[in-house]
Amino acid sequence: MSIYEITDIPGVLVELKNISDHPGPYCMSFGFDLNPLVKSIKRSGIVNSPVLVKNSKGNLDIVTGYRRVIAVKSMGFKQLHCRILSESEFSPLRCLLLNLNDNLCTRTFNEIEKGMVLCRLNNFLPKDEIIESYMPLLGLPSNENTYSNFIRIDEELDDNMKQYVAEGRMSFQSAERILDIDYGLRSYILDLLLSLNFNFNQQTQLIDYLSDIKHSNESLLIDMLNSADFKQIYLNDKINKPQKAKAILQYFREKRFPIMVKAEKDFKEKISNLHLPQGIRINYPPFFEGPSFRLEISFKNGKQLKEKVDQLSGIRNLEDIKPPWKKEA
Amino acid sequence: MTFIKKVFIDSEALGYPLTQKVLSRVKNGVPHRIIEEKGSSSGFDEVDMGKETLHLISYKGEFLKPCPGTKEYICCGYKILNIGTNCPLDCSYCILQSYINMPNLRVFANLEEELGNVLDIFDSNPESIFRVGTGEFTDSLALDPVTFCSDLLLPEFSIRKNVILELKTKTVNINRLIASKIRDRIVVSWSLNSSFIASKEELKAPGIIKRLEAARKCQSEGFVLGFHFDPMLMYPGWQEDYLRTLDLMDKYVDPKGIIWISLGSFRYMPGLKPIVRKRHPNTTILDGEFIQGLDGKMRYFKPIRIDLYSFMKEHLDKWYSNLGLYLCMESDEVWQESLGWSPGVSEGLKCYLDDRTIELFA
Repeated sequence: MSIYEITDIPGVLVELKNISDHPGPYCMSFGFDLNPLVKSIKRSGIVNSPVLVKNSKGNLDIVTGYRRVIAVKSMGFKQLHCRILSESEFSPLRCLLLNLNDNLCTRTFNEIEKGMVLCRLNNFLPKDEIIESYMPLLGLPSNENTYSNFIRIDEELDDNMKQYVAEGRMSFQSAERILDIDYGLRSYILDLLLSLNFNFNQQTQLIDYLSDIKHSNESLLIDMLNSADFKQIYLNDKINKPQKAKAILQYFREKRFPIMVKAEKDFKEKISNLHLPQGIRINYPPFFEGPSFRLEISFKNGKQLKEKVDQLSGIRNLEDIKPPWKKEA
Repeated sequence: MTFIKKVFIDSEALGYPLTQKVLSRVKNGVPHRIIEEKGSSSGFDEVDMGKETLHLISYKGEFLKPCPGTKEYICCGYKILNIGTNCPLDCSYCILQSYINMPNLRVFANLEEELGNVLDIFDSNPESIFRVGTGEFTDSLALDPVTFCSDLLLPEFSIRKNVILELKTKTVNINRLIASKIRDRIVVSWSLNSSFIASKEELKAPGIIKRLEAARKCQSEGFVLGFHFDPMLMYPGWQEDYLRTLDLMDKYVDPKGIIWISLGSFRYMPGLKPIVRKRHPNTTILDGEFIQGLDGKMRYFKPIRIDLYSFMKEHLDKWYSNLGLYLCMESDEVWQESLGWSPGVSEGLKCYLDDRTIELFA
């Protein structure tokens, strides 16, 4: 192939109304901010002409320059110089790879766009080849699970949610997990996540709790979301958004892990009843799984340490500290 | 073996006698395909996992491996003899589902040629006791009717006084074992569960009564038996259901001929969860309170595990007090709390089970 094969194609003036606003089969742009490009075009004009190809129905599909076309349309122009590829020489796969290569060297794809790339490649190439050769180009591991997740996000997530992922308001992990939840409930949860600004970790945790509860008993989850207890937290005007997010997370954690949460509460209560001196804390291992509890003493100097250790050793019932489920000896 | 709908043969496996023997046993009309390219996934369906495709390969890895225990929990020091991977049974909790890069019912056609190296390891360590099993990455007997692996393994293991071979299964494919005259140093084990779990989560596996009937047959034919309640699952009504399985055991087998019974609760790598959700959307195995264990695997919150094991210990003890009961991958604390004693460390558990081996095969 000559490196001039495309630049040698003379530009022709194309009516913009004949070009769809949709990215079509070859473009992979989603969730972008058009303004910088509009400003650039206003300052310097169009430097590179978009490349188009006629599809089997005789309409024009954009091969490269989707954002430029959208920007120029938004600026009110009716026509634009474009290069039109010969459909006989440029197969759909070739057009797709042309777009991919055009983008790869100039920008980074967001997670939604990566899904678009994989999904489009999936129409033409075997899965093994995509995983082996194309996923690394997108900065993704050559891993079948990852591949399936990106395809699923592209195919199953609605545009609203894709927009949140592309904007960085929702994590890719949360998007993956939310697909396990039915569509109706999904948008309710999304509203909850976004209205209270759950951070990425909190999003994932909450979706995990809700998804698990839903799989176990869907009507129970609906009842929980409609319960007075939940609404009392959600509609409470006296606490701010981060506090609400934390309280909601804790509410569903208690529902999902009742035995563990009870054990944590019992342990904390027992420790609280010991009335430990200030600066001394006793913690349980994560999930009570490890074999040992942990004692923390903060002190300013050796004298203070000795005093605190003396105070500690004088506390009655210290020897009763044990896992909360363990029966009295 | 009506479930085998096609056979793949890696070109490298073509020359092995086992390949030719297996091909001669697969039903006529089952299509065969020779795979030239190494590592090709052969266009398998990730939901189906190639469970109807028999795949003969020349295995390049180690045939004898230690059980992948972790230092955080007490491990029994078991050795795994790799005869193949994947299994036609479709248990919703199966860890093999996460190995989606290894689809199909893979049979290692070079087992016969490599077995000598494995036996050399046993022979060069005569002071050590090797408890060896084939049921870690596949069911030991699920494919035996076409592979005849037991014909190959039994004679070699039974003549070695420092080795026992455990064939762990959920199937009733015992005909080749029964037909063999060999009994010494062979343990035939069944994975058991409550009938509820067996029917709901162990898809395509025979029911509990069928398994126990097969166990009874093996015991009456002189085989030593083992049983594994792993994974135990907690759900409403679990106690009554597990108790019913214990009642059935009492009905079908003589406890004096049992070398060991292991207990383990459901545990899984976090990556398995979405796969289980996808492959088994109606499963309830993920409903419990799982926490991340010290080995990174998800497992039931500790007091739940203790409840499961204590219950089983109490009722198994009532049946017979010398069953070689042990826990699989549990902590010293859980041992103490549920069984009332602990081997302390992995070496202690190994000694305990080695002693059971000596006791039953003296």
